Amino acid sequence: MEHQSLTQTAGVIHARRSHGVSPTARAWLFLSPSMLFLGVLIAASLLVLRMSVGTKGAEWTGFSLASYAQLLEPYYLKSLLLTLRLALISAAIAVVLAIPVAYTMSRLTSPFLRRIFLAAVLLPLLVNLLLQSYGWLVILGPGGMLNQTLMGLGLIKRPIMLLYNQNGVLMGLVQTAFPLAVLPIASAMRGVARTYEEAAATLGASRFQVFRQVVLPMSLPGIITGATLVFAYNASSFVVPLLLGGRRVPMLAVMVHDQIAPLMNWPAASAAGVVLIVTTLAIMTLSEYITGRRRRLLEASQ
Amino acid sequence: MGDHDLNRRQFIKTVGVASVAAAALSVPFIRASASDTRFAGKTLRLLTWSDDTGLAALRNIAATFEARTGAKVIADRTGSTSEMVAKLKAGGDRPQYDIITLAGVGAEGLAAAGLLEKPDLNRIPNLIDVPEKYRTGANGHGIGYLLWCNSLVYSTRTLKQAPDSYAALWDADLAPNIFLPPPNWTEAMDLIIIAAKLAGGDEHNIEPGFKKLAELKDRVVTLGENPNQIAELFRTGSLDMGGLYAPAFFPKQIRDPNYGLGATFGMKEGFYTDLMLSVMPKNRPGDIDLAYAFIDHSLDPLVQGKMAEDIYNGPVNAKAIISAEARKSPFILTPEQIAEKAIMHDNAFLASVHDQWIRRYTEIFSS
Amino acid sequence: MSVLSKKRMALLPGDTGKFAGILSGFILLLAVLPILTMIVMSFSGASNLDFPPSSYSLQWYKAAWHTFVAPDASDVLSLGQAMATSLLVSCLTMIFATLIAVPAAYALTRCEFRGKAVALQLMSLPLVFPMVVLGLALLLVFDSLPFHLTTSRLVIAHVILALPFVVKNCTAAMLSIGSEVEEAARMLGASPLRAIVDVVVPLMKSGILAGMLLAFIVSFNEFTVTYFLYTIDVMTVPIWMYSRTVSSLDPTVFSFAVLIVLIDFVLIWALEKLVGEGGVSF
Repeated sequence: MEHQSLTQTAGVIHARRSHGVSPTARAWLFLSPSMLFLGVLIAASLLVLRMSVGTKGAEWTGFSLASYAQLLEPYYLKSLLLTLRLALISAAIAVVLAIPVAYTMSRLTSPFLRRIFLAAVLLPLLVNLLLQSYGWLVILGPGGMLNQTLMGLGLIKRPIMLLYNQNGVLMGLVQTAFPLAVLPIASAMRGVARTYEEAAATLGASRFQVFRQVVLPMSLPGIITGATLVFAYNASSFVVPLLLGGRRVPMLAVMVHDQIAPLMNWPAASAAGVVLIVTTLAIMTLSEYITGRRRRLLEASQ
Repeated sequence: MGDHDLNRRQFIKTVGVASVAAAALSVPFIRASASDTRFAGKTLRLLTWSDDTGLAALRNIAATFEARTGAKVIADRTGSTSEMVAKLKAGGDRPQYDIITLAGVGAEGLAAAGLLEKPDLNRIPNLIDVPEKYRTGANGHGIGYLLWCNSLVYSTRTLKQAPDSYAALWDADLAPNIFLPPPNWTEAMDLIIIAAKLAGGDEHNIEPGFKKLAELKDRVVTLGENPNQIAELFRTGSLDMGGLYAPAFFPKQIRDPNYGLGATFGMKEGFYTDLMLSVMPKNRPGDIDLAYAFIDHSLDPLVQGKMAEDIYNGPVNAKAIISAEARKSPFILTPEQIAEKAIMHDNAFLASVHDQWIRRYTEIFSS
Repeated sequence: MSVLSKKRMALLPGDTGKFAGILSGFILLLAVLPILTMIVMSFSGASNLDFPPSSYSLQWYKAAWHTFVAPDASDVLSLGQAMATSLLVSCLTMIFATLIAVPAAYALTRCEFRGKAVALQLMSLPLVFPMVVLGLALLLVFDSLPFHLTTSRLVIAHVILALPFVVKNCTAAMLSIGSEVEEAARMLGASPLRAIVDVVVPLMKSGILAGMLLAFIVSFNEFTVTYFLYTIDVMTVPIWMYSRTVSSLDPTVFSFAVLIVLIDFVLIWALEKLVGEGGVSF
């Protein structure tokens, strides 16, 4: 409440300076070109919303909530839970792995190493997943290098299945969404001025203590942003469960795809899509709220 | 942007003329005839499969058609039937293609949405040699041009001889590691029916089929969405058997002994086929005579024979010319074998159960 | 815990912390392992995916080069054409995305206004939309227009997808300048618009360029939405790659993929060079 009144005062001052144009109008004027493009996206969203309450064959004229009711059947409910669980676990793993990487990236001084690191972080997201899946097959497949090595060492008798199940999918989800975790965390860690670290170090804190008690808490907003991005991205993942799950890990986007083609049931696909969008938006809003609150707390304490 | 697009089309045409010349030189089995020049310079837009079948169609149908008529075929080779259909349905009354080759189910869906033109059979002379049941599909909206034939695929290293019944899939000692088709494919529907029949049911009494399929769960390595991954798993000895799957998916690997891949159509229960159709969308961009000429050309006995040899699919033309050498191959189907053992499924019936069966199948094999 | 932290402390001498460095190097190595495998396989002398290859040769590069320069009849839409389309679409995306993102970033950082939360949410909407649904929905939107769009509909879609990244980087750049500069300019008599164009924008140059490059990278690699929107005449490189790999695989695609990885690598290199120690913002 207090925050809101503050911003409004700021707005009034601003308005007087810019010759009477309301700050809201001015801001939206600046935003209008992007809104033009986002308008297409909004139109697309409304279309999806409209289709989700349509009926198969009469997507634009029919009205029925059957597609949403259908989502409550165990088949879809299970898939939704599986999707949320995998997205959540992958976000947790990605963040845990991203923290040391982001820390290193934010403290690297050699431009060469920095570039190599950035490329290594970004490429898995960019390179054709189909081709990467052959790479995984060669490494982790039942006849792949890892299994052959383990069998050669006599550690296992039968090849262990690392692909075509939830483990394989989880690994792929973490790998491809990794940059979405690393980059915000690295940004946040760069923002933690080195002077804080030095100050803590002069007070006798070990490097690890500095990291744990200064760097980590101060980059928490970045960590939460990273986790949210990975979650949102993976919740609608389609190619990874298809290629690394051997079609045996029915994540929601795969089912959405089945409904679009071959079943041509666009209302069902749209309804599932709406649920996915709403869920991820809700989680993003929540994380925005948490990071925003935290930022304000930090600012207030300074 | 408009200008740019125009230039682009112009460019394609120019490139097209050059490659017609190239094609004429590189295609030995159809002689370019100077008499049929009605279509010279015209363009046909074709949407076909992304797999080797599509490639073979370009090689054996499109290239020879270009050589014979001087027309230009621009091909989009990005489709799988289901995605093609979704895109076309969304595209509605603004199709970008003159001819689309796709599976029966897909054509059925497009015809139901009212997007297809019913071809005039009299304008396709080669249809005379095509048996009645393979002539048309999708309620007369599609012209059959090849039979997609599903086999049992097996490892020639683990299995000394080809399995002669689908029951082999359930034999854990014979084949410990198997793969099955993914739930969204028609092959999965056929497999469900096979399982039901083995368990004493049939397509109208399907419950025993699902029970029977559930027995396979622990031995299923993957539901093979990607044929190359499947071939790779066979090469590394990780799979022993699988199906239903068309050998057309890996014509190269089957020829290569390193893969140890075998495929058989010799099951005593017969083999399942799906009639692949050529369809013409309404409001096509190109010339109508050209489209008919192309469909007719796809049924030419020589073309049909070449396609069968190339990708191990059944010809629909009963007079398809298949070389004596090719007849020895266990994978290349002759019109006689087809007449004897091919089973065609009922697309209209499958459409009514598709949704439920996909769900059951997905649920059974979820890891 | 304290024992553990002491142990780690011993491992963390020097400036960057060797332990964290080694650990992150290892993590990144795992992440790029499939890409490295792919690169090695592109040099294989064998005709299958045997790994490690039994022999090495440049045969696939030669074959790839052949398809590149001499498109045969069965591949009418050659990679060269797809590449031209991709570059055009990516460049246009980059320009448009930047032009619209700079004022948006200004509004989002310098103004407090009603509906800001909504604007922020809208900006992140492209990130959470399931791609398959988005592709289909955009196709339906474009097809309902009374006129035909081909290349431009790819550009519009790509701009939407790249927007969150560009806006984020411009916002970060703008935040780092602080509003004093602009106020100083205005006190010296510059109009508000002049203050932005002449003073603020040049100062955030590296942030804008980083955003531009990111837009290019996003557009150049976009697949799912493009899959729904491409037409037979306008096909991008990822679509071309897909049509070559989805169910038939010849190892030439690995050499093409290596080429694309190389292009991406150069772009990322340039991106890092631009942003320097400031880092890419997400």
